[in-house]
Amino acid sequence: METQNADSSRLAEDFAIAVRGVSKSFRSQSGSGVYALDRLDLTVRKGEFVVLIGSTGCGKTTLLNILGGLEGQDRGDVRFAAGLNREDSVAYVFQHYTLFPWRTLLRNVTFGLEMRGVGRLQRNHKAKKLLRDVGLSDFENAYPHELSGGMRQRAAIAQALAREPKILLMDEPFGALDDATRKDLQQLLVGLWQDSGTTVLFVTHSIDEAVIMADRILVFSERPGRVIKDVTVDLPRPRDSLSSAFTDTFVEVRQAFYSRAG
Amino acid sequence: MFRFWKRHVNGSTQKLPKTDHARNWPKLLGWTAVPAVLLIAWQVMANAVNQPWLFPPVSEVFGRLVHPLRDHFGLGSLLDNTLISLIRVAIGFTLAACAGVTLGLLMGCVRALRGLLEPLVEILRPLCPIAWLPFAIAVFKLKTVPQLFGVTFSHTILDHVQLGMVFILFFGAFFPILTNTLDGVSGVRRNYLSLARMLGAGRFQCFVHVYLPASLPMILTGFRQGIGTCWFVIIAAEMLPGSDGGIGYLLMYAADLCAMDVVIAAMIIIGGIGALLNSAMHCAMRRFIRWHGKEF
Repeated sequence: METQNADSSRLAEDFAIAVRGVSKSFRSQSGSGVYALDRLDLTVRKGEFVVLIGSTGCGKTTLLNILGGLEGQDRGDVRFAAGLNREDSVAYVFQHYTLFPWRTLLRNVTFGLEMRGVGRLQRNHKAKKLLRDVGLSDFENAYPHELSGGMRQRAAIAQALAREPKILLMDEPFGALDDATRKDLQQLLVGLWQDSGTTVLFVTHSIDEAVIMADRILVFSERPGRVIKDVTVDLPRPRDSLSSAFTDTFVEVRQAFYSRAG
Repeated sequence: MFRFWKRHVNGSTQKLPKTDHARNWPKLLGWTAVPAVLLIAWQVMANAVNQPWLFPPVSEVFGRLVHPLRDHFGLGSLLDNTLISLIRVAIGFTLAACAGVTLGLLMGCVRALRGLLEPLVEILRPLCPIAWLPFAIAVFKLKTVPQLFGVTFSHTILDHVQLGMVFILFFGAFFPILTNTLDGVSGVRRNYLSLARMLGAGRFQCFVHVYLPASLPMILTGFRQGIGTCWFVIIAAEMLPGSDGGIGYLLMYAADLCAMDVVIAAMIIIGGIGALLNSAMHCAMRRFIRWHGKEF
């Protein structure tokens, strides 16, 4: 406990999220416990863009769910920086079911503000601006099913940003998109992140996506999930995925990714 | 249906209307030629039989239908009696809709409530609403809705709305609405609840902004089944003792007097209104839940 306190006070200057010794197990159908996370430690600095990478089922999503408060951990401690709390500071963008199908885009984006009791005029004004930022100003009265997958994810980002979160959790938000759309959205997201100064925790299993966007890449081991490699990416933005520096980072992450079993 | 779809695709399939029209000729004939042939056959056969008290010709039946305001047997006109039946259904259905949706949503959200009430629902649900009629008459006698509020005789159509009728209509619509709402709520994807929670929705807000809209398609399906059942039930109930009016009562009364033309006219009205109620519900569903079946 003492070391933990010392540790977090040392980080107090600029940490946004500190995860200490978090474990989470699920009971499988045969009745035996399966660890999704095992004594996980990680720290995310304010304004940092952190990408978590690992294969399916390594506990990345579980971690985001714990951070978002959708699941509880069995053991360990999750801390947010002073002034941040789960209810107001954290937004979460999922891969699927990101929008309410019974609401128009505008009403989807205003949802979070409506829950907070913001007046109609004010929330519509803000949502329209956000929809403009993500390039969907012509679609505010469209329903989600009338849009392409990429447009839906744009809207989902606008929906999450409407509450001005300090921390943005994203669980493979571009996982179901084609390459070109994915590239557009990566650019859009990095642009929005640079403007807003939000802390981003982004889960993916594409190394390319990680190196394009991240300040820091955390490579997860197979289940139970633990961070086995922490790669800082300080390439200048916008990043050129054909440059040799990019390729070097890519290879470094890739090596860690494929050695993770051992 | 087709036109509705086209509006969304907007111009990308210009040639489709023609082929659609061509392919739809059976439907076109089904609405025009088939009924015409049947009506002619009916008229010819009825004239051949020449016993209008058993088998009246089309012309006589239509003679009744084109004068919906003409009084029959001192019981009021076809229109009067149709309105009496409709107002009974409207009151019974509205009560059932309010109760069914509320209880369905609550049972869907609160597991304990569902556990407590589901066995009762499963026992009462298969019971034909008509079977409640003797019990309802015994309990409510012939008390009408205005009498419930202390008005003995209000001189309005409401004097024909007996509490017993409302009671069985309530049961006719309540169970389809309740079970469909319950199914709708149980079918709400947890993902939408997670999404709402992450966007700051509390328990009550989830109820109003997720459970209710997400189960709206099933609620409306329940309404459609419920109003159909109500219309069945009221006609049957009006034919039984304890009734003083309504299109089913007029039908039965006319049958006792061998006025088969009035009987058949009433049958046509009953069928027509049933179809109208159903398609009105259908339109409402298409209008209010454009997104239905298009989740992703």
